[in-house]
Amino acid sequence: MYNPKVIDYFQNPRNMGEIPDANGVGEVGSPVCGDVMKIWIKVDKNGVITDAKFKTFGCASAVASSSIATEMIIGKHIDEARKITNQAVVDALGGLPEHKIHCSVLAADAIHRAIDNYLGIEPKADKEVEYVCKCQKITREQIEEAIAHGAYTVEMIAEATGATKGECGGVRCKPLIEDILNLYRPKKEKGAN
Amino acid sequence: MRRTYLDNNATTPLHPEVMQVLKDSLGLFGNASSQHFFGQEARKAVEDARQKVATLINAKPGEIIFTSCGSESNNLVIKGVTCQDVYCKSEQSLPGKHIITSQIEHPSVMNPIKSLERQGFKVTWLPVDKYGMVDPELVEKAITKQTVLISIMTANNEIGTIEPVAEIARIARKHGVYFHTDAVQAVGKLNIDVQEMEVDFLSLSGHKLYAPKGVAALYIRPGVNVCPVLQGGHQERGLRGGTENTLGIIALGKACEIAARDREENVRKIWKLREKLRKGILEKIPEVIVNGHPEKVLPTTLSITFKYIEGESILLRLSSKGIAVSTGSACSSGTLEPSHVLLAIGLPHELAHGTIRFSLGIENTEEDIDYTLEILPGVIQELRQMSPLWPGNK
Repeated sequence: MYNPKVIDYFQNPRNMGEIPDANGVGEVGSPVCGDVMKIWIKVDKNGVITDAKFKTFGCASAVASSSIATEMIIGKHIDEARKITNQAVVDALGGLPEHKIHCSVLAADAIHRAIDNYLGIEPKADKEVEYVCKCQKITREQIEEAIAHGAYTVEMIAEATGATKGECGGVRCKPLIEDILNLYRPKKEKGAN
Repeated sequence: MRRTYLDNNATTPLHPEVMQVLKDSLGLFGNASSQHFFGQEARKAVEDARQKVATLINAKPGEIIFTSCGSESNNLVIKGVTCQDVYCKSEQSLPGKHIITSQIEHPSVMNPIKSLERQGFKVTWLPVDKYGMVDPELVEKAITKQTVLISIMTANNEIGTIEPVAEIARIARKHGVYFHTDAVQAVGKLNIDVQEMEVDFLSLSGHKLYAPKGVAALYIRPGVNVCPVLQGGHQERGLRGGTENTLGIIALGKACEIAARDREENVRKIWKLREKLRKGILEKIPEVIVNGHPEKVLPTTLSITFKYIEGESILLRLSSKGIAVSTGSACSSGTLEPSHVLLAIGLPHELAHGTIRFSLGIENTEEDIDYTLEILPGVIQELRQMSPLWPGNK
């Protein structure tokens, strides 16, 4: 199921551990969804990341994604490191199974969070936002916007927003999205077939 | 590298005697429905096997239908009992549209029932207690005039808990409702007696009892009405069209004969190994939970939650050291949602994610368990060192 590179980074993770005097830390994910990633970075006075380490609770692809992400940012200026996308993480690993792509999203997010933390930018606490799709962090507003732009099935909303495509495979959010959709669906007239 | 197989609930290796019978039978190509001697040789082999399967569960040969897998047996009962085709109806047909089942059934029971639910059937999904046990009282309370079928597994594939099926079967009988039990994980491990249990339907599968994949059986009590799902010829009393899988059936018959002969001895041996593994894990590894009933549990099954780490990581690290286990159940390995069984017994998501099933079989030895207990603590320790949730790190 995994390619040899992913297995290698899972079996022999690079940069596993913590940096006691890190000046940036980013943590993403949730134990409920089965993935938590924490990345520590050490940034020098020129804005260059001199060291990075990670700890991860999760599957093999989560471990591999976070491990390779730390390698990708060491030696880079934070402005460059910030440009790393989840696709770059997937490419670096030589590909991930479709249902594990979210691991690369988390790894990219963890880097961004750690850089934000170094810069003193506070993330919006998860509790302030009500996510309909918790795994992909899709809000009710985003789903309503998709409906406004023509989505009328759960599948179309999934396509437009990325909801249901996360860790849980839509088990939790599909019924909620269905409920929102029902609010916008034209009511059937009484007596109509 | 040492290869230790602890995933016998997913599938079992062929028993050497089954392998021998298969080799000896490879030339037996006749169609069991043919009237000439080629066909009759195959017919005799199929009927001998039917007798052996029946003997194992104290049924009569005429009450056994051969199918292709446990999933097919389960589908045949659920779809066959609820079939709406007027052609299939008889005096024994139950007209209602209500089914009772549990929240911890195998997907091959859950999904056909979900399909019926979408088609207008009412379904009661009974909860289980923290051990995964169904309460027979709740079954009785759920029965309505509309109830046609109750389906509760004999023993759970993920946590091994043994359900009070005989008691539930009596309740079903009292109310004139059909009772089916998916005994795929139980046959060959528990004493299964369809007369004592008073079930109407019982599913069993070859590859869980040392026969090959692709063959299974269904016990059907006489006088019970069920319609075929796989429609075709007159094979299997018209209940399962398709030319008999002669080789598979011969192998299943042999496996059942062996199970009847060796079951008690094997169970004693396997239970000892299971207990050694359970005690060893509890002794060597902190922060673990043993899932399933402490006594009413399959001797082959040990479900353990390792806190703060994730199951797939444990599975792959063990696999790289030559130990084969599974997370939850193999059927849900392709999905990311934790097992419905573990959630139903009340494990929070994060703990369900960290659960491993060790399932033992007749080929396991003391050395297998020693090796597992030698490797496992290190694997758990390493993964916990890597986990930001592990309090030992803080």
